[in-house]
Amino acid sequence: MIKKNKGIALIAAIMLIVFISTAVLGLSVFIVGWYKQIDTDEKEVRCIYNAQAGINYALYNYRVSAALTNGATAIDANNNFTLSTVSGGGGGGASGAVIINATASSLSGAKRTVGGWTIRNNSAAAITINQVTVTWQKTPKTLTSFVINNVTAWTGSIATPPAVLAVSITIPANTTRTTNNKIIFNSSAARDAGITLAFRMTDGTTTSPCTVYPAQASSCVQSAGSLTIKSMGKTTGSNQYRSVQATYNTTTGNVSDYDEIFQTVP
Amino acid sequence: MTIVVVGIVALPISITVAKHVQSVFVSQDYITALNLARLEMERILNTAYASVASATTNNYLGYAYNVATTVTETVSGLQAYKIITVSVTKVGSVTVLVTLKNYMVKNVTWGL
Repeated sequence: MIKKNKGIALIAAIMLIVFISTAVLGLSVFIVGWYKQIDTDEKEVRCIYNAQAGINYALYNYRVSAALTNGATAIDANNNFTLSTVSGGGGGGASGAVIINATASSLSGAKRTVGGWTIRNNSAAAITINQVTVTWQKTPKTLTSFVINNVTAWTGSIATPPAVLAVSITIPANTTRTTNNKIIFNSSAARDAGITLAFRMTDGTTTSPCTVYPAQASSCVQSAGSLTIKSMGKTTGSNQYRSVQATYNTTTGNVSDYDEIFQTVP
Repeated sequence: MTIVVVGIVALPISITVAKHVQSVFVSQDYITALNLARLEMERILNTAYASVASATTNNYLGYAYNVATTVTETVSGLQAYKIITVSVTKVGSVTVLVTLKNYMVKNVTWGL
């Protein structure tokens, strides 16, 4: 009887080992999946904060130099965001903050200089003008100089309107340039029926042409500008992403809309 | 023979089971750390810009975790932004379990 049962303990032990091994293997698969889930959750949280960092970064750049930030930026070795910023709505971007007041414009310097007009940056961020377009109606007359705040922004000789001037004029936040803003011609502008100015900003937006001479009854006020910023946050070595979109009012400095969007950027 | 076979197989299985038990606690650490980091980040994002500063809180909210917030500022004229880093470690350990980063821009209001 004892001889017949010899080896049964070994068989039982092997069977037990097989069962335990199967159970442990199953548990291992479960735990690996569990850890992957934790890793995914962590990356999701990091991605949304990275995306939010991108929005803040784009706003900072815009407020410093009216620059629209696009493309990928690394936060550190493990985190990054990708931005897409566009001007939209109203006068659009930085141009929406510009107010030109020509209610007191006048001629001086043998009536060759158009002065007395002002330009205001009505936003909480600095703006930079990189192009001025001047038009006039009565020719022959040559544009020779453009001055803002007593600083000569352009000199040259353009006889045929429109005169497109490459300039670099920065106006700080909530600031009006009131004195010594001049458009200077080589001959009298007294009989000109309409001299206009339009400004292009470094963000690519442009103001509508505003008549600065003869004097106008009211200021040229652009519509409030806005920026739409999309930001996608990612972590290094992963395809996981989360994206957000913000709408920023360039005049009030307020983010009025902020939502998660389920798309890649750009 | 039976004892030898069971002994050989039981050793790695025992180690594996021990690791499994250990991993349950480690995963709990990660989950807790992640949620504490989120909590701290949201608290900072609801703080006025000027008041956001570096700080370390031991035993954060009574949990056995330390939360360190590091803030660095980049300034250009009147404009600025802060880089916020929130790191969570277990009390008595230097191993960082979770690190979250975010930026906060100055002079911008949020909401309608």
